[in-house]
Amino acid sequence: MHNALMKTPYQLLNVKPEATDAEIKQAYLQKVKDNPPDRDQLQFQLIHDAYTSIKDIKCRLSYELFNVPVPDFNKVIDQALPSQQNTTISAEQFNSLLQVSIDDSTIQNAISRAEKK
Amino acid sequence: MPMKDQQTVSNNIDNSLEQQALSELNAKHYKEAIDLYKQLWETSDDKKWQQQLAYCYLQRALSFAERAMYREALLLWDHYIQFAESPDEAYDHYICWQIQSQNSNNIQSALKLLSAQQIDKQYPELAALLGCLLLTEHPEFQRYLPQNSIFIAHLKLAQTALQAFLENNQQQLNEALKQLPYRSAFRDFRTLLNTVQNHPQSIEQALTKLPVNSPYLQTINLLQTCTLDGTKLVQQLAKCSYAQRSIIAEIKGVNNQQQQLIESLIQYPDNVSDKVKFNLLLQHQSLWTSGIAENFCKSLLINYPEGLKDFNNCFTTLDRFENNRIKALANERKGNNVEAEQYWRQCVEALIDQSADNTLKIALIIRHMAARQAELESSIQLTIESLDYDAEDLVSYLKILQYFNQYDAEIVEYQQWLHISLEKFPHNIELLSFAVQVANINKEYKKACEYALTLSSIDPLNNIAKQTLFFGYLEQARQLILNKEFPLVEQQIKQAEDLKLGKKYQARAQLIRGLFFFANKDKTQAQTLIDEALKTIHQDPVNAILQAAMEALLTEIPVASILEGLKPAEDYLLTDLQLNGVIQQLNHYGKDFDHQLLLLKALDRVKSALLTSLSQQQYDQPLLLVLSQTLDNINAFDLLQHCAKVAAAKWNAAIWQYYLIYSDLNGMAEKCSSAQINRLENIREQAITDKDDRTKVLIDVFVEQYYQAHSETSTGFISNLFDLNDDHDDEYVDPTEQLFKHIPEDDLLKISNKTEELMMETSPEQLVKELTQDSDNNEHILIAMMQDPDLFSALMVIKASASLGININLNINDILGFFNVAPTYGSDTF
Repeated sequence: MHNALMKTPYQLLNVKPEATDAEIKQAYLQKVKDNPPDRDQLQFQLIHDAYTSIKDIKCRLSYELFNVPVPDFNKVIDQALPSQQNTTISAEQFNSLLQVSIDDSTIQNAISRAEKK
Repeated sequence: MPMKDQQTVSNNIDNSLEQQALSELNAKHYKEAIDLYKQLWETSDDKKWQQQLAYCYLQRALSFAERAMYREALLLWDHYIQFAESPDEAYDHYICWQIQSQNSNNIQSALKLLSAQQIDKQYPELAALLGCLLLTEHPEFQRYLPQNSIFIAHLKLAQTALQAFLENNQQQLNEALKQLPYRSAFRDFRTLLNTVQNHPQSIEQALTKLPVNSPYLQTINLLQTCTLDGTKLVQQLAKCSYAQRSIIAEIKGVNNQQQQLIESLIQYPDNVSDKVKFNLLLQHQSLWTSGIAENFCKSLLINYPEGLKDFNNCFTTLDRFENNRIKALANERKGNNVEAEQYWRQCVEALIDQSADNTLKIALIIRHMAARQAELESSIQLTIESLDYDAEDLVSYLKILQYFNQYDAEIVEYQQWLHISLEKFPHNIELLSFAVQVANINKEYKKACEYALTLSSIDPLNNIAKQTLFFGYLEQARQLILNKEFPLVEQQIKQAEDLKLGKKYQARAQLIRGLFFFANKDKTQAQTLIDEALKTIHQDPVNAILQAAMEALLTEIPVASILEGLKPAEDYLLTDLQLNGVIQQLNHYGKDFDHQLLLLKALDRVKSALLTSLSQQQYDQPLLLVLSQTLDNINAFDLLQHCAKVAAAKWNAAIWQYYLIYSDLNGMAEKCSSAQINRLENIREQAITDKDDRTKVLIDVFVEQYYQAHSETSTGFISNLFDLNDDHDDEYVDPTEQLFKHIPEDDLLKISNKTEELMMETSPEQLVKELTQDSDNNEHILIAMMQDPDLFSALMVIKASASLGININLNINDILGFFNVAPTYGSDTF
């Protein structure tokens, strides 16, 4: 699924929820400039849809009332689990990994099954 | 049996068995092949059968081993070695099966039989595996292996390297690894140690370097898993054993809560349901920073509203509005619109109770409900309701206007809504367009021009506005000509021309200018202008004469003078397109009721051409239907009658039968005879059968008008037919009255009742069949009846009097003669 589909119209247009009509329009025009329809039709459509859904107070209220954006579950999970840029593995940890790495499939796959007569 | 014959038979059997065995072997049916080769081997101790048996046993053993059935594989191995010439060829497999079956005595025995040559040269894959096992799970295997082998020498180097790595002795590690040659059983181990030293950069390279059956590949995979985070980490951990996950968790610094979450996620490798997601986040909410779990769970409530109670217990309790909003949206998702609407209503009530100004929210909710209504009427009611809370919504006004416009632009509600809408949005193009159209429909041309002028100033290209203004200016010009205010006429014509609507419109303005010149005594120039204008507008004389006559009548200029210079149209046959032009003109001029009498006069000028065209041209039915409707609108009943007769002769459609009766009565339902009403009922039935709703509705309206007109009188057939009631219309004389006026009143009443009874059960077709068996006769009488339903009624009176035995001194031919129909050649009585 396209990543942008997971974003709210505010995130797509890069505006705050309390942004004014003029600010939203300005952000929309900038986004259209950066993503013209002839370059990426889908992205342009997403930007356009995002704008029409929050362009004025009525649209924003409607969006608030009738839309419940469901965040990407995977991204929510990502936030709960550690994210380390550099995972260092000690010699002992490596040895532990090596010791537990052998399983049935290791032995079963070790010898290729060639035709033997 | 002689010996030679016995031998031949035996050979034949052997050949057959061999072929069967080979066939089973090729099909990999080793069990069946073994049975057959055993039979062959028993009959002749041929080495060939032994080899085949050994092959089949080995293949069966390998097949069981592939399915992890090592005990079965080992049993088959025992059979294999009975027949195999060199069983050590698959000995590496045998050792693996022994290791898998975990019988240490057998493993020990099997390993002891391995020679240095075998482990160093013959079985490189087994050597790599044993090397890995010696470094990990089974260091004890070292004792059973040939100590003089290169393998054992390399094992010591590998052990040294591993130890050096554990002690962080880089120099010793490098020295040990350097001594391991390329063709060592520990080559992949060296790659692994190099990879871990350059972790994680060299992982990708190692993955391409190691063969797919390398026993160290799994370690590399585990090292790679250590580089992942979030859901990718969970996906890879799902493929690991618990022991492997625990070590990776330790390496990654995963805490207990996170590990519990990972273990829970691993249980749902495929799509996780919203319910599971909700409960996972609820259970492990402390793993997220403030608000994330709550927001996510709240969004999931739309698909999992059952979690609402748990949500309210664990997170901030949702207020009355939010509770109902979630329930409304959840029901919408399930398609339960009725329930959703109830919750939205509660949302509205909750918003009303709040101190904040929620009117816009309320209006939006009501409009949301309106948009989801199945019935358009209830949707409009809700839209109207929404304006109580937000009266400045143009879209709602347009929706309401479009709705009322669908039914009738003249209705009061529509005009009221248009008025309200225009007050709110006086410069809206759509609303002004509506206003122009409505004013035109309601013949409020001055008002239409005012709206059109405003619309034109906002939207100079608006065609409806320009056309309205154009005809408005021309109408003004006509009025000025009528009032002899000549100096002002040219200005109006000029304004119309300035709208630049096109060549034909300019010609229309030119036509008015010609009439203006005529009225202003400049007849020569007038005639030239009129001629040129009409030539531009029309290709045929009929349309030209019709328009010239109508315009002359409208400006009170002598028609004959205007038509003098025009080409006569008497015998002109109109094409479909030209007939359509006539229809358009009739519709245009017929819009104004005040002009209808003038239009009929103008129409008289081209009636001859129209009658001839209708009789001689082959117009299609839809065109004649449009013409009939137009003729009806302008009350041109004689032409309608002619059109209906022509059409009825071609098409057996209910509409033409209806128009025959309707035009015969000049559209006056009150003049209808009972026989005609009866006939209309039959036509109505035909319309229903033909699914012709329009005709059915037309008849319903006409019959309703008839009954309304006769509501205070007897509605019996005979009372109308013979006009027994005194309140007859002086203007209308029923033709049948003259026929039956001599019958005594008592007899007339009896005949009336019987006639009504018979008409219920007799159709015109049945009646004609009773009159004669001659099909030609049948047809002309039937057509005559269709054209004049009174004939049918009159014949039914004859039939009724005959069945009652009352002599009324009239027979069938008298009736036919009265209606100018050729006599029947059969009996003249029933």
